[in-house]
Amino acid sequence: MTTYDCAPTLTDSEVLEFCKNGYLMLEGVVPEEVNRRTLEYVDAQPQMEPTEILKEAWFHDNVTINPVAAGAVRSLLGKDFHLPILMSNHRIKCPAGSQGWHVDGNFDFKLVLPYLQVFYYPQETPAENGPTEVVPGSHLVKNIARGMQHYDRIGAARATAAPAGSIFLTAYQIWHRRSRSTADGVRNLLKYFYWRTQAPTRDWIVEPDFDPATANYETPADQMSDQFRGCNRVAELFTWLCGKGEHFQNLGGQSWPLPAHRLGTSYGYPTELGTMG
Amino acid sequence: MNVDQLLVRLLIDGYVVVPNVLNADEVKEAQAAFECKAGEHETHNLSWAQLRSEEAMVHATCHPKIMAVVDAFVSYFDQEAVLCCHNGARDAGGRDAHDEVEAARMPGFGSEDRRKRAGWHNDGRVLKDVRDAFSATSLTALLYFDQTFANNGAFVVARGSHHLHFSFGTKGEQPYYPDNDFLLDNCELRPVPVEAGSAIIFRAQSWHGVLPTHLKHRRLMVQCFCAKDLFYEMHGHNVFANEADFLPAEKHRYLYGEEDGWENQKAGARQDILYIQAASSSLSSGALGISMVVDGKRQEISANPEEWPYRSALDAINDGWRVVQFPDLSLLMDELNPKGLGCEFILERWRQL
Repeated sequence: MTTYDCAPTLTDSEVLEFCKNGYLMLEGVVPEEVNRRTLEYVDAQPQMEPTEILKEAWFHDNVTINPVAAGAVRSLLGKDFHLPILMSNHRIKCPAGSQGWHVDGNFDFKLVLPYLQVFYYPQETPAENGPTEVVPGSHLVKNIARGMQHYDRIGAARATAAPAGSIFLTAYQIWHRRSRSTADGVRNLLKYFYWRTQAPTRDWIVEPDFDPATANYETPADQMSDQFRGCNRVAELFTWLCGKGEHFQNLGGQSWPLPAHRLGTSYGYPTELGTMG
Repeated sequence: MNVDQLLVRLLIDGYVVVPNVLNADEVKEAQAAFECKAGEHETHNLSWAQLRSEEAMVHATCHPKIMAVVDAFVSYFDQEAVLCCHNGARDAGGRDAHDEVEAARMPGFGSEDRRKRAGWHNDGRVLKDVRDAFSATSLTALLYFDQTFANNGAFVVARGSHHLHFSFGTKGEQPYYPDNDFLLDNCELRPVPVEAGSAIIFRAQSWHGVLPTHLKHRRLMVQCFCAKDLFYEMHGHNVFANEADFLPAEKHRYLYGEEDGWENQKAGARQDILYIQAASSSLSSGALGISMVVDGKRQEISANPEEWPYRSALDAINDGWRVVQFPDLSLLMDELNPKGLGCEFILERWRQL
């Protein structure tokens, strides 16, 4: 089993933000030279799955275990996470129309994070080159690819336009699509996957002043569900990542984890979570 | 004939009498033409197809004096009038006939008549699957070739009853029909006797009937008119342009439609589709998502919601879109497990090519 470990780089707040949005953009983290070599490689190997690139040391060191990206993966998936075994390249000749909204197949829709899907832009990908669009928070709202093909514009959607060398991590079931491109040329987007191998625990960078009892769990998913259901789901996912998933509870009404200005301890806040650290 | 006054009465009362549409000679010619065809076809209920070779019948069809009122009425709804149905002509006389003197001694128009003997009905109600907008703007013209009497063979009408036939703010969809007894108890019930050659024009939504007829003849021609845009709302009795193109050229403007027009309409018109995913089931709820197919092509819509063509389903309705599917609330009831992008409204609009 090919696993990897490194120091986590995300803080409590950043992990929580990932729980809220379902994706994390790391701009320009891959050196330009590696971006150039990657483009040369995929130009020579233009197939949809240039998996052999994973064997290239320069790619492994600078992309697969890129210090910034791997640190984020380590934060979210725990130590000794499993490395990618397959490389896809969404290589598109531009200009091209937008893709249909979808979630990638074979997802397990639960409020857990057993794996991450990661994307790498080896070239600058502005809006004109059709970057991937994601719907922040949509990883918390179940959907199926064949039931969302009629969607087009989604107000909350965000384009992942980014400079060359950018990597973004996603919760696998996040809604996404390739956006319309207007420029000429070829857009490459490499896609790969990491798995958790260890039980979740709060072993990322702990912030001394971060209090899960009063943290704000509101998410863009709130507008796609009934009131407060989105923040409940974020709290449940965050609690699971902290390794306290079995203690998550919601006592209804104004209890934790609803966003509110309360007197004293948030009613319903599980005491077990107070010792997260 | 003051058309404006007739229009006002038609709007208020739901019917109007247009006197002297045909002069005495024209009445005789119409009667003769009717008898000729009745003998030829051995029936007193002649279809338009059986009559249309008779010049007198062609003359009576879309007669200018009738059309002056019809045009004024349909124009009131900002529409153009067309002939939508021609029921030919019929003779309801001949059974237990009395002459006019005896007819005058027939029982008066009393309560017994109104409930049991007049056959009260409403044409808008018997038309199948038409929107209220169609019946609200449709008229029937009865052109009499014989005189009728207030107690013998007269058309009877529940004056103003069309006002009780309306839609509850549904933009002309499913109409409300009042209870029959309620209507008869609360409307003035009038016999409308006419001279031969006169016409009664009434709205499809007016309750009406006919008094028992004890006349040798009670011949009349029945024509129906509607708004051109709503022609295909009615199925079953339509007169199509190609079936009546032998009418004089000046009447061709009242002809519309083709026999396979419903299919042609589908082929000749294209359905535009609008999806709006909203935050809630309210029509005015803000759109979370939008997609639109116009003229067979998916439309490019700005990524910026501020630039979307519609902010809500209600915005789209006010721009002429029609809701064809409301959000399926059963999908929202599992609130612990949200699914999909909000509450989806699907709307359509038909684009004439």
